[in-house]
Amino acid sequence: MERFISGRRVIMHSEHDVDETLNLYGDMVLRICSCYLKSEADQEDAFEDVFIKYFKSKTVFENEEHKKAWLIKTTFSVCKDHLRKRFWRNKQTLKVNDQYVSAVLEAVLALPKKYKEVIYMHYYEGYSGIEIARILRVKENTVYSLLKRGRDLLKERLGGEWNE
Amino acid sequence: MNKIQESLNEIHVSEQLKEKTKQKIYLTQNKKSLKVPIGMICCLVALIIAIIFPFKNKDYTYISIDVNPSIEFVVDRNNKVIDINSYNEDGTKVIENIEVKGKDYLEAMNTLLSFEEMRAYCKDNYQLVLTVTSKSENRIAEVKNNLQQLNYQATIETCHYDLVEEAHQHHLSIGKYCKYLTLKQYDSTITVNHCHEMTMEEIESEIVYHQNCHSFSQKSHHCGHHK
Repeated sequence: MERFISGRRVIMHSEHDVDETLNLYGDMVLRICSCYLKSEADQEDAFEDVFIKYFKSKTVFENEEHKKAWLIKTTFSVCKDHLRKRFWRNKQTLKVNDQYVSAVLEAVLALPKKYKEVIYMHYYEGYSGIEIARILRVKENTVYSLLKRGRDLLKERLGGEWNE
Repeated sequence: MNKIQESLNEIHVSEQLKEKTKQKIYLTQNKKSLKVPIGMICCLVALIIAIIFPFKNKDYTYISIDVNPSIEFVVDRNNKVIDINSYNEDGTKVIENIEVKGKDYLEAMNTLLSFEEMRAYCKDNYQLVLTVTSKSENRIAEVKNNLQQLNYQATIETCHYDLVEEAHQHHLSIGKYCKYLTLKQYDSTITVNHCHEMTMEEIESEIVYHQNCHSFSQKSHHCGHHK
């Protein structure tokens, strides 16, 4: 969809496209937000910001995979911004039903930022090391090092069964 | 299914949150569309004034302030801030809440950097970069020296005045644009769009990474080779 804003031609995503993207990737975005932000209010703010960025984005996506990767990276970036601004609100406890499952999420939340991204992308989304390296624009060896260290930190906190 | 998948699978976005998000997006859209005719009127008025009262003083100095907010001061030869621009959403949120036009640029810098919202960005390891450019080398040196006297934990850089127009065409501050050009020397796949999504710290990390890789490969010829 083309619009003219302040005299400039801008490609913006249509309302229908935003609707579709919200339905397809809304859960994914919220899950990433919950890995970074404990407070529900912050998760929702970050969620909204991601989709506002998507709506305003001038990026032309080559395919669905490209769009998904863009959304993942943007969500990481938005969450980090929110963490910086609202660190004092992250003292609230995350609410999820199962006690052990909650402990896993708390452990992921407690991970330093650089490990969260690779742990989420590998263990939740199922991306390989090569794919993560491409999306995050880092060296493959860096991804493997971060995965190993992230795994060690989770194991320290949760014991050996968390990735079964 | 691992425990991380199990725990995250419990999380679903509610219809309420989806609706709230759509409302916020449409609000953003409508705000912008209202600005179009006002923007055109302002341009017309500025054009008329420029014809009647042509600017004599075009000896501007640009000072960009980049952390994650990306902001730029335009300073005249009397050291007054005549304009302040933002190049991303975070920058816009900051400048909407401060008044610096008409102030001496050093006073304006103090006002900006002591603003609470801005201070929050300068914590941890986030890199504050001030970039100065002007037509005159003497002027650049003078402004750089004065900024250094403020003793902020910032990197103060300079760049060529010719890049100002290019930077603004790409909707980047002069400081961020110069960093982008440095990174592009190492990584030709980087684009302006990438830089829009990156903080100064992230761009700088990539530059340092490439520089280390480059110096390592000069010593050992093994950089980039995986065993």
